[in-house]
Amino acid sequence: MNEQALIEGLKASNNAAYRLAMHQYGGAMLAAARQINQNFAEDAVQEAWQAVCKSIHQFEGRSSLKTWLITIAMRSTYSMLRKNKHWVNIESIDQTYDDPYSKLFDDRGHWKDDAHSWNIDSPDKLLEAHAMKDCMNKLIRSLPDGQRLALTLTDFQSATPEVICETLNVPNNHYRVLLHRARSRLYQMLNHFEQTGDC
Amino acid sequence: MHSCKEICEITLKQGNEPLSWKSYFARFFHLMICGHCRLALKQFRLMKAALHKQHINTIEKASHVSDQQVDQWISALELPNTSPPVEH
Repeated sequence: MNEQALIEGLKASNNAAYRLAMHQYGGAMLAAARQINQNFAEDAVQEAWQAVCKSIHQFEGRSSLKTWLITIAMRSTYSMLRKNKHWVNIESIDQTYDDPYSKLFDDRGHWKDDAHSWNIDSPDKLLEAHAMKDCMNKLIRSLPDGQRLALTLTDFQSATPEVICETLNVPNNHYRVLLHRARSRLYQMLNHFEQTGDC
Repeated sequence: MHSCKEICEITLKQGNEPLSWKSYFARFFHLMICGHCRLALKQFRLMKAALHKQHINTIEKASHVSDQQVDQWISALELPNTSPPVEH
């Protein structure tokens, strides 16, 4: 079945068309939702399909069906996060935090040591280096909820600051601090890995 | 004149929106004279691109879902048309 026929089937509320779309794109929708939040992903995708049922008539084909479905799954996950915000622990920005990044600079804010070039010079090569990719994933999983969400929503999902602040229910400056903390930890880890080969 | 630490903070705190003109020019002029920060900025951009690429790869490589999962989603939709599944 080609994509246009599948869309027509969805618009006609055809059971077989829904089954096919779910088999073809459900995995990708779940993967996108899980990257935002593991706990709410399955419920979010369930809600996403209900939203698809209601809004498929408005689908104009400006993007592929897959992209549209993934976007709905992501919005549904944001909505789940907002509804269940008491499950998400957003640390206070006043919380004592040992920022490894600040150790790179002296009292006047200049670099303490010479910067080291990385051997890896493209995103593909970085992800092909399995040990480094594992370290990256391990570090991201270990981040506190707020930092992990600020990082994944910004850098994985390319969400706008407005959407992120609304999803996390934090003011803009708080979001910036969370993002800075998460990125600085990740940057430090990658820098360390480049020099030593360890996480 | 901003310090290296301030320039790196501006970069790490930047979400998916352009910098303000003030921050943009502060960083621009700092980068003209600071090789350390130019290298760090290149590395930040590589890190950010790798994160986004990883997200895309995860979605692209996502496995198909089980029949059981599809049955669960379908049953919650209460579709009027109950035609049999098509081959996929």
